[in-house]
Amino acid sequence: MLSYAVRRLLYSVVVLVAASFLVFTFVSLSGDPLGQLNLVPNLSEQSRQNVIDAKHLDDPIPVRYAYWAKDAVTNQFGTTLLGDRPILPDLWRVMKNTLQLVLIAELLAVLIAVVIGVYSARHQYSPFDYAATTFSFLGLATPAFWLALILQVLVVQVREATGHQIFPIASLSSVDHEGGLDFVLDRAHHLVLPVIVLTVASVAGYARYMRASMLEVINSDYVRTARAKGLPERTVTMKHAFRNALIPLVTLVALSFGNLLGGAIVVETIFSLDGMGLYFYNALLANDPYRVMAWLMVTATMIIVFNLVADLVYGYLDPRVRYD
Amino acid sequence: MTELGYEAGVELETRSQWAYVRIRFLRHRLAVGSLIVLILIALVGVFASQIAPYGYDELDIENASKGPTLEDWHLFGTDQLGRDYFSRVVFGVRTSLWVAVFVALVSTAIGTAIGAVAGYYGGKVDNLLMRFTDLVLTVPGLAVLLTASVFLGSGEPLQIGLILALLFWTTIARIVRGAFLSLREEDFVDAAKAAGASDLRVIARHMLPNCVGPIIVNATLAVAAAILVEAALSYLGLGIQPPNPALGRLINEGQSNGFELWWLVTFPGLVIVAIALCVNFVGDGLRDAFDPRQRRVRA
Amino acid sequence: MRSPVRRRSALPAIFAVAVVASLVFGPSAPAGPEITTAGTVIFVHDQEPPSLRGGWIDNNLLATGLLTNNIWHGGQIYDSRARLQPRLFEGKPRLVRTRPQTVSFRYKAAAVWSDGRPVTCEDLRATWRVFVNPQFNVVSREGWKDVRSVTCNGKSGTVVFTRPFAAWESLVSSGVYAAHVIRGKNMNQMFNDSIPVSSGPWRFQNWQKGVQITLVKNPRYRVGPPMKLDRVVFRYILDTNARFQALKAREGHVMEPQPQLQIAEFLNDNDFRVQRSPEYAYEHIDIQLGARGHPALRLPHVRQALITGIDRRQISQALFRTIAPGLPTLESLVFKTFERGLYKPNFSRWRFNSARAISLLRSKGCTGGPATPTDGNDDIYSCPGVGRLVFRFFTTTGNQLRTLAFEVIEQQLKRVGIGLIPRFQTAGQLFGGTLPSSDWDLMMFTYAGGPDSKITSNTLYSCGGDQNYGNYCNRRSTAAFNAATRELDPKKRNALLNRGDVQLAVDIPSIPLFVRPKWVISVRGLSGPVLNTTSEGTPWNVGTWQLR
Repeated sequence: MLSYAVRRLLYSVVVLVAASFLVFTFVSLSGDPLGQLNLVPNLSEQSRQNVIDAKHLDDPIPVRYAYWAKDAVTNQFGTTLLGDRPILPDLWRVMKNTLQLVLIAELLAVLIAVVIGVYSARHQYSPFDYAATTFSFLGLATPAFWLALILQVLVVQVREATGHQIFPIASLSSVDHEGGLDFVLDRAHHLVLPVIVLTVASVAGYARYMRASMLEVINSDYVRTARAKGLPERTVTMKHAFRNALIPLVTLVALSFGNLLGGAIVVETIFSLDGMGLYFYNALLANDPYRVMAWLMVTATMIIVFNLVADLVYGYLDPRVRYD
Repeated sequence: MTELGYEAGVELETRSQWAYVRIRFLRHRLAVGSLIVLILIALVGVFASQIAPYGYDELDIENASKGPTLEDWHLFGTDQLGRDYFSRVVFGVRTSLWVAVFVALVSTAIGTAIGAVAGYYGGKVDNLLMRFTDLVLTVPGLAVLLTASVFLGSGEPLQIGLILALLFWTTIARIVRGAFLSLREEDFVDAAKAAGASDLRVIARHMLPNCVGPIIVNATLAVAAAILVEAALSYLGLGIQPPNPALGRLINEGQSNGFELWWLVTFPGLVIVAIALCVNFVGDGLRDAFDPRQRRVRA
Repeated sequence: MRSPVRRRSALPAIFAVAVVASLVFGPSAPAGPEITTAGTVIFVHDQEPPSLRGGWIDNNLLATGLLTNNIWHGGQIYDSRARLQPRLFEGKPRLVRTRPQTVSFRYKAAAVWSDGRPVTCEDLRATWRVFVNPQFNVVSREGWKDVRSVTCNGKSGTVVFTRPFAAWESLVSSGVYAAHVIRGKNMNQMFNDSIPVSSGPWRFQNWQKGVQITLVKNPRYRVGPPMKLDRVVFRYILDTNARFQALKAREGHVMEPQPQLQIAEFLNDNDFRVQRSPEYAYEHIDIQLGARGHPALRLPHVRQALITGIDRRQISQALFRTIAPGLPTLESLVFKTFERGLYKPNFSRWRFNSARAISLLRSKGCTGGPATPTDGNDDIYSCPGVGRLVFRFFTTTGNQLRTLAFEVIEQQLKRVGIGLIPRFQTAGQLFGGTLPSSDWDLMMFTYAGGPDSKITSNTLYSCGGDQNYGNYCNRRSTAAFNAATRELDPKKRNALLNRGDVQLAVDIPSIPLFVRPKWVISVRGLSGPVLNTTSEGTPWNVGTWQLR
């Protein structure tokens, strides 16, 4: 198992380097980061040249990539292209915000999905099952940004009707807040709508998966044996079926982590949350390869680690899986 | 698992696998209903010019920003420039559906090809191709799409379709590869090779028909996913460009008045949900139909 | 039997711990500012500055200026009528001599920094040194690079120029850095996240990144009306809807909205006050006259057909009917409609007339298009030697009003047999790649500016001008515009500028559409904000603001 993990990691590093070169090229070719300056009257050519020299913008792309790589390793991903502002502190700050959002949403989604999935499987074809299935399908079919807009509209309509705004529709915190517990509650209050949007998207997929997985296990031989042994249904479900049905879900959750980060881009834009998605979006529009690359490296590493952990956990829990 | 009930004395008819699939699919009322709805929507898209009461870019500033009404057939109201919204949604359906189907077809073709080659040859070829797949999967999809859109500029439906297709093939590739890896060991493959069939012939004529089920199911689901992703891209301003009224872009344009002129955001959104929902139901029905192990007792 | 129960009840507990842990482990609460319920005004804005170092190559935003204009206060500021009013200066600076151009000024005795040090001529001198230092990435050295010397005597000073610089008054009146703070420092890294001093009505207190910037009253400010408020908080919300909703939910008191159709909701709402005025930014369509543009555009009658075929009044109406009714069409490329006495509608000779557009084309032998203006027409004119009149039309993506404008223009031109191919690009691509490459036919965008921008019209329209990406070249207008930048007499200067504009109206290198309106929305309970169309912005008179 150890050799498998090491080999996977090595491959991943190669893949990551290749991906980084591709993305760097894409971003560098997408546009001139100094482009907006063309509209500034009486622009100082000296200043423009300073930036070009400092970031080697006159050199061919592979050379620029090499400079970037050196910066990334020796100088914590370097500084932004135009402003020479250290990237890592900002990236760290937005990463914490996004991880909060995404982890809460995932935990909530898994919890709800498990409950729905187990109950649906045990009471197959009941009204609850049909309702849950319909809800799942709806959740899968609804675009996240549209749901976010509708939620905002609802909150606003409620406010116009009653004068009371139940949830904030933008930003991470209020204007005035104390530290400590007040800050935590304020943050939670602001995250309610974004978490709902992300959770709905995930719950739908996970619930169906859990249900299918649970069904498969419930109808399997060893569960039938347990029932035949005379064990109470509760024990059969929870102790035997549930544990085994959970395993594939765990791997699914880990594997969807990448998609979740992508979904966060849309949610963060709509709710004006200072997170990684928004950071990436702004960096891309500014044609700043330094910021985009830093974002990419961090995100890709997280995804690779998650994927590897998922596969290892799956291999550990399910003795039938063999890795060669 | 025969679905034929037989009465005493009646001869058993044998049916092809496709017949079984068709029968099982037709028993899913939900899937069948969704298919009908989808066909209707697709027809609306194809015959958009005939169905829409106005052109999608007919300005009528005097009548701008009116809510849904039966007057003048403004069923979905008008937008800020007085254009009939129902017509815009209808033409938007055409564009969005076209892109989604295009993406599904192209990505399925690419994914099947890559997965088949990887699964059939195994070993180093498989390793290389799978690592390449990893390369595409390592970066969050939306991020790659945004980068590609900025890079490739102006959003014609064809361009956007190609960009999306280049991201969607990975799922299908993995599935086909998995299927081929196990099919490779089957006897009929050895028999075909012994009979002198070329690799291409073995893949295309013998192995591929055996995993047609998952391929079709995934292609269907890809349509739904493609619609949602294209809408998100257009919403962020980087998808299909004006004057094409793609559904995501309609929501983008309407959202700044979304709270007052609610119909600008609601109707395109509902249409997207409806299409994605129906496609998902159909895909689910197909999955059940192709999988003989699922026991679905529906009267 | 017990283990399933234990496992089930553990799950919610684990979940709860995880949630709380993730919230607490998140960014630690910054030292929150003192809560003062009365006396805080929240200014809602869309663009968070990348740093507090305004006027830099990475930070040329109006959004930064809104903050720093009241921190790095100027000798004079522009009031709401675009007139310079003394703040740190004792009276107006004087033009003492014209050859060499010499200007003298004096700072008020009461002008001090928030740390107690006096504001002196040394501060202006230090600012000049920053702007001419080749290692510092300032965005523009215009004016400062023409200064030969700054001689100081305490609060008084004299500036001598190497050659005539027309916009001298606003130059010496601009905001100055504190010499004692910046001495010996690398300005490229200064004021990233905070500013320690201030000479203006407020000083910097706190920046919660991604959320808001807090400014508090500067008690040492005496040279202008001091703040009655305790704090002003700039709150940054990216989403347009959410910004407007913040105001409605009283989470904000004042904002300068972008041109958005939601402004209409506030016009009729008695809880809000909306002020509107045209400003210096103007929307226009540039025409490419260089080799990489469509050859037809080099023919005068084609450009004339374009300008007469576009109903500019209908565009303004379509875009601004609800939020800025009655916005006048812009008929000059140099002066603005509200510059009384200076504005002459030189372009009004090209009144909208579809039939005339067609006859212009046909009289020069163009064929293939409609004989009369026809709705739903798909035939396109071809002119001898240059081919079909189908032009690539570039503009920025994601801009609601621009999209609407394009769709209106496309319709209007189709009626007269001219076709457009849309090309929507991100701002970075459009201005970074496409514009300077001159590989475009028509481009619609906005030039921002201020009261002095017209003085440097030569960069846009003179042969070989730095920003003349349309490759327009005419000797007469070039001579007029170039001379204007060196003409110190305002009357003569304006006459030169007008002469250039008249020539532009003959050649049509660009089609002026409209001046952009600027709005300020404030809640009724807040008295004081007056719209200011220059880069000073709404906070120019923050000293008079009061919350009831």
